[in-house]
Amino acid sequence: MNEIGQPAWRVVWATSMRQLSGWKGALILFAFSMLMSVNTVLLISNPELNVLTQQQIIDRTLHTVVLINALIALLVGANAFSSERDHQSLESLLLTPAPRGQIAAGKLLTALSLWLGTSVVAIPYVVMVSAGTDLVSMSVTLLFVFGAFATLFSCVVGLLVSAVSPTNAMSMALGLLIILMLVAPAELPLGVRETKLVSWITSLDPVTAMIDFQRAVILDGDQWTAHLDLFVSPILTLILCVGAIRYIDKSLTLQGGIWQ
Amino acid sequence: MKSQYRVIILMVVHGLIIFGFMMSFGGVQAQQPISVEVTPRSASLLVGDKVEFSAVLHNDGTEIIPSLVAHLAIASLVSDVYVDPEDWSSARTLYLGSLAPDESIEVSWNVRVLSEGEFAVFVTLISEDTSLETMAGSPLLIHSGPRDILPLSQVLPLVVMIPSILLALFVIGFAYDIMKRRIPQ
Repeated sequence: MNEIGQPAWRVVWATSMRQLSGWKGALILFAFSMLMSVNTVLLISNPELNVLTQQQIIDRTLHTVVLINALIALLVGANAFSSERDHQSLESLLLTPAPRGQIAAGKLLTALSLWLGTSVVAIPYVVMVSAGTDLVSMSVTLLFVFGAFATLFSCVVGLLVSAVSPTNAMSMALGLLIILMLVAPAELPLGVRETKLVSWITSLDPVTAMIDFQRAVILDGDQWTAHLDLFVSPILTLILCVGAIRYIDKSLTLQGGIWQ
Repeated sequence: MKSQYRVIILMVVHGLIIFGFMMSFGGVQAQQPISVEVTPRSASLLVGDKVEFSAVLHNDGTEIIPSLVAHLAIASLVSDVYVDPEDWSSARTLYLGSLAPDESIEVSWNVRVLSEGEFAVFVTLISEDTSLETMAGSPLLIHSGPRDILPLSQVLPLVVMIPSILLALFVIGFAYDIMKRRIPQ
């Protein structure tokens, strides 16, 4: 296919997707489905876990899908520029007339494409665990809405870290650390979460805000319209993500670093 | 005549013993200045379900009970089922302060059933200065059955089928890729 005349993001995206098409993509989806199958069987059959209600099983299944997608997106993002640095191919990439923001956008689309694939594979699992309840459509909606947000956010965090990290190892470590820091407040015991400082942090943290939204709708049976305030922080974060892409567009350098 | 006296003496002794027992029981009852009204009294649940157990404590006595402590206890009524009350309910001990005569206080706990079987959930009362003799309220009797919301037999076909299809796609794609490399263009 002639790539001349195409926008840079499309070229980057098409190149990445070509690498993933065929058996490599199938292998990723197979690994993902194995993980989901084991997770589902454990949630349903393990005597230590069978105290879970169906709502809790739905919640944990969605959690697993979203976290796996977020991790994949983070790895794609964190690998974007720092791996080119490690392979000493970033210089030639930067010498092309392609705007750096468009390169980042191409990488972002790759992560979203992977997310779409894994989410489609996850649909039968989510429908299966929510069968017999009135939460089927809400669960699938959350799978895509929450998943899209988490994927975008994780990938942008990865891209930012990758843009400033001098090595790939540092980029991966930093990206994972940031995501873990954002997810950790949601895993704190309820008593700790109810303290003023922690509840303030969780309302600002976009990841915990989305987790809280999911819990309120799935576990507590609340109407989704009752918790629209929890969308403020994620939407603000997405606006910041756009800013991050603009930052990469202007500040991506050969060696990495923040102030160069 | 002697036997008649013996019968009378035995009857008196028995009477005294029975009277003594009655008095002693009556005495214990009289020493309990708190009445405990619990709700609910029984529940039939599934493993994983929650139940709110509440008790209204009323001071029936004429003196203030200082520093009342209410503690939730959970016991299995089946010998081979183990209960770890910490897992069933958090913050089981409540420090209620003093309770004036004719005053009531309501306490409640959320109890989550974690095992199948028959269980008794009850509140025990004591005062911090141990002046109140330890006492327990009537139990909430819980019968819990297994939770089988998603039978494994219904789930297994799908959890096996999806990875199998993707594995087949991977094998076909991999084989096609190898063949493409071997066959010269």
